[in-house]
Amino acid sequence: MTEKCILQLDEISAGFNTKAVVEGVSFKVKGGTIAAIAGGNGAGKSTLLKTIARLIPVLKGKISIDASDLSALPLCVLSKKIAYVPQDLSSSRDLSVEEMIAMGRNPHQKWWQWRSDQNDKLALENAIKATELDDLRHKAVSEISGGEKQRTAIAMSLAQEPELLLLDEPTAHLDFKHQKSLMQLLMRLKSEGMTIITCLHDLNFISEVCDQVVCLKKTVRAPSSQLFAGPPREVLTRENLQSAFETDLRIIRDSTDPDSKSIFFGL
Amino acid sequence: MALRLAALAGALLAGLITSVCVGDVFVAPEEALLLIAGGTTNLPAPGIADILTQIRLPRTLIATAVGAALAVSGYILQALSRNPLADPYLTGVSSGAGLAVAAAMIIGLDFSLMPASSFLGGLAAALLVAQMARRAGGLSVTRLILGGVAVSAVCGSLITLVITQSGGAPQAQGIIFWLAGGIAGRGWSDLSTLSLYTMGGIIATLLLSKQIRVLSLGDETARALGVEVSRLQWILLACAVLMCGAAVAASGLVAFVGLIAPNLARMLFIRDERVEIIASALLGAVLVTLSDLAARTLGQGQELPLGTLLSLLGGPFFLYLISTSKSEDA
Repeated sequence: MTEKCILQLDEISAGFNTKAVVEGVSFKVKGGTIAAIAGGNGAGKSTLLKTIARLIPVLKGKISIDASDLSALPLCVLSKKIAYVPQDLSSSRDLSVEEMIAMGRNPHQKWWQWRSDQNDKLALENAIKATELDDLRHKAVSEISGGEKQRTAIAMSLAQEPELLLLDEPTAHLDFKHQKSLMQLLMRLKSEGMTIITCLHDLNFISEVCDQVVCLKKTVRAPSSQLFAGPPREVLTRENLQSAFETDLRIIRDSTDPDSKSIFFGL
Repeated sequence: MALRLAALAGALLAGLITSVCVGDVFVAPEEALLLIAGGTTNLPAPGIADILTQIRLPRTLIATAVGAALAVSGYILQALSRNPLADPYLTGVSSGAGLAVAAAMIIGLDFSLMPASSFLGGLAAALLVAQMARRAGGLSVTRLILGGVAVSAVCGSLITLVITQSGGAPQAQGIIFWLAGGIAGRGWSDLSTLSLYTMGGIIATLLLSKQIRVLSLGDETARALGVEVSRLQWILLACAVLMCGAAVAASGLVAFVGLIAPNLARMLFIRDERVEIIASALLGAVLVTLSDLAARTLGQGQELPLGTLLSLLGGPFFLYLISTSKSEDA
């Protein structure tokens, strides 16, 4: 596992036009780790993720990737380093699953180039295999389920072969089986050295998979701010979570397995 | 797929030959081809050769180019708006061009300046709409369409004002005929500018076809995949406006070609933007060539307006598209 810090946020304010949605966010992400951005509805998780993907400009502060200023990177370089998976991927074209995933190769190809070279074909096949979409590859995206679309979106980002993978609510459309399969996929990608940042609501998923969690808190009539950041086992405490989600809850650990990372949250 | 494209190209060739041969005087296809190739023929009257080479042939080629330009312009606008119901007329180009021509006719500008007036009017309208649609990071598609509708409405009202306030001037009749659309009276000089813009626009669109596909994923995802979305949208809009403006300059207001041809192309050719662009151009060319042939041969002593004929076809097609559309927003 790489221990080098791949991404660093320093006092970031982000939002739309000049209005900040989140402010004062600072954290570092080491290479080959998984970080989660958590928080209640409207806390600005997706806004922060899009800011890291440079889809929204930084209003204040600085984001560095591999020690370079993110805002100074040419788009053609950035799109090879960072892949972004939106909550809902859709196309106005009725493309097949394979055609959709192949678009992930766009940053590696010339802008007019349609023909795939050996690297493109290999990356496409690896992405399809990793997301178990082989049976669906020729099916139209309009005919597959929400969970399958989510896997297609992830496959597209894997075909991009990025260093940093950004996932916006990847479990939103997945049933339990596919959530587990996504957990395993993320763990495998991590073991292969990929760095992942994901917005998540599922605290159990965060506890199980993530090395770090950054929690945002919504404030009345002011931008959201960073409430806490750190390893899930240390920061996902009853007090922190009550403060983040403004509701009472209990934490139940699996007493039969002292090494288990999972924490279950009860009412 | 190749067979269908070849069939379309064959249909266009057949349409071109028919259009050149059929008219008040019928000329056999082999004689027409011989004449165009510069050979000697056994045509009964020498004037017929001039009719063929100086009137019918350029007119037919202009109809072909107008159809191709409007069709690919429509294809681009549908890709930009991610809406199959978008049409060059939604950008306000045609109405802006119409207004410029109406004003030019009333102030008595020379007829040779009409295409330039039309082109500049269309361009001004498109720039106005694009300015309204401008936002940080690109063009707002909703604003592009709403702005186009608003500009079209204002230009339409101003054209009506120009006509009604002309005091019965003979030019008013000319404006009405121009607005109805038609290629009568156009010659080789009109074809050169039109074909330049049309070929340039089609080639640029073909080169950008892969980026058009990535753009179908939405602005954010396309940008995450390395597409300079704002720049791409401006370039595509410029291509659409140039082709549509040049077509309007040559043929007046010809509606629905930009709607019918790309949608038919998408029905015939599945999921390949390059083929769809070529098929749109061919279908648009066939549609306008045959409609122009009908316009000049079906009328009782007077040509039918080309725009009116195409609206008779396009209106029902538009209703068909709405009734079969899967999108609630469409």
